[in-house]
Amino acid sequence: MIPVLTVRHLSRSYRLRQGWRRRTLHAVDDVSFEVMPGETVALVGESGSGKSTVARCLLRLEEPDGGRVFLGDEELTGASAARLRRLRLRAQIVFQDPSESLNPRMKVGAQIGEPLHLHRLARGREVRSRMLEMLDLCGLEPQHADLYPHQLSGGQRQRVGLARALITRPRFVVLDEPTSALDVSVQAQLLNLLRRLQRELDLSYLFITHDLGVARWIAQRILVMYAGQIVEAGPTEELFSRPLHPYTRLLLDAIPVDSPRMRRQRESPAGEPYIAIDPAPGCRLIGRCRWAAAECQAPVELLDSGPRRLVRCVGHFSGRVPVVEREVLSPSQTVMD
Amino acid sequence: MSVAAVADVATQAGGRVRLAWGRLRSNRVTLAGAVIVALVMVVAILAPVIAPYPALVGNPAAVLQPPSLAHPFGTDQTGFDIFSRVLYAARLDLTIAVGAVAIAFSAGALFGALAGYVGRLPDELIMRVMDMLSAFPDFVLAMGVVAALGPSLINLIFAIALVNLPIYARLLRSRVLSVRELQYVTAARAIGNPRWRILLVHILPNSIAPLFVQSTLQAGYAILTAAGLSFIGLGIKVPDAEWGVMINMGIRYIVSGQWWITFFPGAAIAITIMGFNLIGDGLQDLLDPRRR
Repeated sequence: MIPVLTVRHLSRSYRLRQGWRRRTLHAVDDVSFEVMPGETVALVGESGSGKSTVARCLLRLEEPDGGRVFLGDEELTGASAARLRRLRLRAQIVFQDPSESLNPRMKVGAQIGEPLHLHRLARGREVRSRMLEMLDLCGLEPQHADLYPHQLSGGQRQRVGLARALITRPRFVVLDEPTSALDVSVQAQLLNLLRRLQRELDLSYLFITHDLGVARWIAQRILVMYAGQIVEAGPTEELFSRPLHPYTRLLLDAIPVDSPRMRRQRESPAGEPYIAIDPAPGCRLIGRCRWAAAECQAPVELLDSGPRRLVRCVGHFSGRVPVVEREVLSPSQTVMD
Repeated sequence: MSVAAVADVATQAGGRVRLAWGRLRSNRVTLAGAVIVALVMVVAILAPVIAPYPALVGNPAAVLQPPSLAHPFGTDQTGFDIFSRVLYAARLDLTIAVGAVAIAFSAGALFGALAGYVGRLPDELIMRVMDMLSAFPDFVLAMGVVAALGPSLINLIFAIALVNLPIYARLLRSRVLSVRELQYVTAARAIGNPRWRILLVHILPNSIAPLFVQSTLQAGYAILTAAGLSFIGLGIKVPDAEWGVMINMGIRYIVSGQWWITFFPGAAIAITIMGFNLIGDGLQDLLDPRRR
């Protein structure tokens, strides 16, 4: 089976000027992964970890400065402007804040139908009928089409963003924190909608989030990102029950729980997120990791650790970092169903 | 009006206009401005009907008469009826204001959009020319242009437009620069909008509102500049009916006590400018879709 999305050695850095010094921020540093048909992959990490930059680079909304991106077997990186426009039919993106990702002066219906119009996929009355169909599929009413974005609620706006992304029937959708601007109850509705649409429209998702609970609810596989690099990857349940990288443990410990017994077992995350400005070659978690040692200053690779598991940690492979089975709450307890 | 009613009205065709009117009514100051400007426009259009005397035929038997029932604003040294001429002058002054603003708006918006959107080089080129234009005091630049091209209505409009152009260009450029970074512009790119369409459909409609507000203010100043230029003999020529020209014609009579020759055209200028400025203050609210 060919992956719908293949990412190889993706990099994106920004030049900074601090006083007279020129420095480089490695926002995305050698990121590789793929998304299979029908799969949902979650990319999780703190703010500043580079996950949104990955999202923008995938669709070349921002130009990556290294690496390659393939949609199916067609390469997106290096594609001409015309070819890029055509490829974007097959890969779409839903943004985090629905109140900022919709044009405030365009009616909702016009915004959803716009891609059809742009790619000449339909005209006149057919645009409207397909737009209404998509509106319905995303759980909106036909009369919403004639409203402006500010007349809708946050959840409704995000459904509009989704409808606009899906109307060209892409196979792959990047969801860049689509629920983090929403209330918890609205969040749950949208997540359920995403799952339903995935089945009905045969979609693959890259779901970007900082919320592990949400990631667990929606994704079959999780990539953990820290300071521009993927530090751990694995199937969702395995990653939750047997996290291998110290950073993944920190993230898991940050999920609030309602059991005092479990709360006691937790480590409290210390230190600030690392920002990869002119980073040293070694592990980027050194300042926050309780297992940090001299060997961590050597360059670290993302290596196989068992079937479908990848870890970027020297201590894990030398056995210094113990593997601990975690007591895991069932998904229905972590996410509002 | 309740929120539900607002949303309801806005969904109907023409609801936008009705809603704008509703908001206009609730804002007394803006309404006063609109009434003043509308009145000046009506006067300009109906001048031949409502003026008791022609604008350019004097009565030698009635020179320098103070305001009376026959001549409400008095007469000047050639026996022109000031009241009639104040009414007629609204035509020329409004033409100049609207013409100059329309030209400055369109050209300024074009340059501003190009500067803010196309790239570094066009930006630098356009904005440095704008800097040159605004380096001169407005009135001096307008004077120079009219003096160089020769006094005429067209040249007067052109000069005033040129003076105002940098304001529109700067305003739109800065709006475009900030709007182009917003997420819905990125979203527009993601769904496959060509570059020019992003500018026209997604950036401009969200950037242009401040220019309309600016226009009402500039229309007022355009009248002031036109009157000023005509007053010093550049622009509209004596004895055409124009407020600045009329003040020019009466200037020598202020000391000898014939105040009405200059007072009424001066008051007409002041009231018209006030009308435009009052509208400008209220327009911003009316044009913001989030406040509808």
